[in-house]
Amino acid sequence: MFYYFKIFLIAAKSLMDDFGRTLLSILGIVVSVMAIMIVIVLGDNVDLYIQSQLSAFGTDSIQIEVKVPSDDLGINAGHAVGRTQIDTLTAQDARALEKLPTVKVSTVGSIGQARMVYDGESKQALLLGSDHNAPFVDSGITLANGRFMRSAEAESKSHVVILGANVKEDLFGLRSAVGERVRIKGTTYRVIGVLEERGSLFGFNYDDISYIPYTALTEEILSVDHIQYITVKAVTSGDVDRAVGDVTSVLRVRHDSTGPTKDDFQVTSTAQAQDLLGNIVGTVSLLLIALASVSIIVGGVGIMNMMLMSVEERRGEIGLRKALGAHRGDIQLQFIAESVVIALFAAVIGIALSTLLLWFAGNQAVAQGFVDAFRIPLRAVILSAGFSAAAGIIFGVYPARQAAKTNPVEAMR
Amino acid sequence: MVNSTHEKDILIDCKNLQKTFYTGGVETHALRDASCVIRRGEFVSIMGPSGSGKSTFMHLLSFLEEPTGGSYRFDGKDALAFDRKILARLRNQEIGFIFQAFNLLSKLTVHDNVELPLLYDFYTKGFSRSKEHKKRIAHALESVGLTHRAEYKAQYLSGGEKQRVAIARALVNNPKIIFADEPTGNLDSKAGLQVMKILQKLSADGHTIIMVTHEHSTARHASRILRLRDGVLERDEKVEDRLFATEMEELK
Repeated sequence: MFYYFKIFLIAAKSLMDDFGRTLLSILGIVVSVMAIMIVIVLGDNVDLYIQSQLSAFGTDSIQIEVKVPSDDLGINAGHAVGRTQIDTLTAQDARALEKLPTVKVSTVGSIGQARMVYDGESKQALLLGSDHNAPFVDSGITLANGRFMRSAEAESKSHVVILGANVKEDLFGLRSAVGERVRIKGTTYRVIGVLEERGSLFGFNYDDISYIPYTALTEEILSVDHIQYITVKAVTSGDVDRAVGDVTSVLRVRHDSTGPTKDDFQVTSTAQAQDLLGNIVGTVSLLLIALASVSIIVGGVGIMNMMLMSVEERRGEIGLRKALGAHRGDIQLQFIAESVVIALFAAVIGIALSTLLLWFAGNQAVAQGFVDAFRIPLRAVILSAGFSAAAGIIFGVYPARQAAKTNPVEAMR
Repeated sequence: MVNSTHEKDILIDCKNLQKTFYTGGVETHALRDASCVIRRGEFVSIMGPSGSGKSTFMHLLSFLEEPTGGSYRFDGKDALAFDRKILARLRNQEIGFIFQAFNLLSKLTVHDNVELPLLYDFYTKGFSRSKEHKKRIAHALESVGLTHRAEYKAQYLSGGEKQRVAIARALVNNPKIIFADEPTGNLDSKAGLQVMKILQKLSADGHTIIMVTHEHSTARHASRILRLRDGVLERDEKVEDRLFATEMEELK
């Protein structure tokens, strides 16, 4: 151990001899380490954000959406193919699913748009046709004022509306909204509740959504007799996989489907959605990390250049060491140690700078309410330091070999 | 050499040693023909004007360069058959070097400079035994009278002190032979004498020393002088009027 310790000590000392040059040569590595750090940390936080948003639905949630039957499994083409309307999913399906022993509660949903008017103020409103169970399935639905719709209202095309926080703000300002009447597509609706502010996910702002009974939305506004999705909750999180199976079997029977390629619906649990999104984020950030790692090659060449210069200047020292009995391996190890020490030094600076930058940016993002939390994972530090050390070794080998070949008689010159 | 030199006493035995350099298609015969036998415990000077090949001769004998012709037996073994690893080990274990320009690592302390050869016996002896090393470094510094300078940086020493550190470094692995290349060349006469005094003491203690010099007065501190001219070892003579540094110093 003593030997290796000495080698590293020698390396560190020689680098301090020409500190200015060492600093210049590490610039490239510092920048690439920062790039790697930033990419990893941002990717990680995007993932964290998505997971936290999805977890509002709970890990026991299962989403059933319409889908165009397709051989291409795993991709929901329901929205992608706009022309093909799937009109087979109904509220009866939801009520049937609710009878399953593994399913606790079930809610239906359809999305539509209509102009909403109050007292001369008018707004294009995003309407979510739902039923009384929606707050039990989506824990993100909380009321600031009033109440949510009742079962009877949901089933009977009652003209009641629960306003999103932004909608209430836009139409009513500071005035109280509950009990007031708004006109939606020419029909008068009674405001029975106002939702708490919730924020947005993927650029989709929850606070722009207002809830009305699904019967009113589908039959009166959209003029259809089907719904777009069903969300159910399993009895316990442990039952989710079984519930997914049960839901799929029941719907296959009800929709006369013979198998996955004939299904006109798609069943996805929250866990599956989290996995899917996590995979997408993971793949994108892996790609970016790979790109950032390429930049470390440029930085590595900078180190190699400096090491080669240093070897030329120190022929005498190297010759002396060989005259005193250093083997090629000793010299090689000494110079590789030097380039690793440089690279790690660069990593320390790069990590410090990027941590500072990210910490500042993260605090701002939290303060501005874009995200709830921001973290800098240890993985980012270890990975960027590892990349840097690897560059130090790889780009140190050539100069070290050149050094090791030095003839001992150079000591005499 | 018809006298009764015992086989075992012979440390160096070279015949018709040659070294030719090829640079840019030009041949330079640095050493044309050198043959000699050096016994253990001898103190030999190699003399000659610059360009006579004396330095090249020493480089060949000390394994810093390989000859292009002739034969060389070191310690009873054919030195031309040694591979790179054996040569590195020999330079580390059996040979001590003293250079004209001292060749200390100026940013290191005296102690660390003396320690250098010990660092490189890692491959030979495995992990370093630092306790024994400490003893050896202390002993080497003591023998050149620089114990009190151990923690000084080499660059702050005087020329004479630097050369004494170099001698301590040469001694620390207890080598079979010490090669000194113009050891007094960069020193004033007082410091030079002190270095010669130490070399003579080492010789008296049984160390074999080969010293390259172009000064006759320095060469006469040895017991034998080899004279080179134009790459040929011309004369091999015993020093009749040997100088002893101890006496001369008392005169000052």
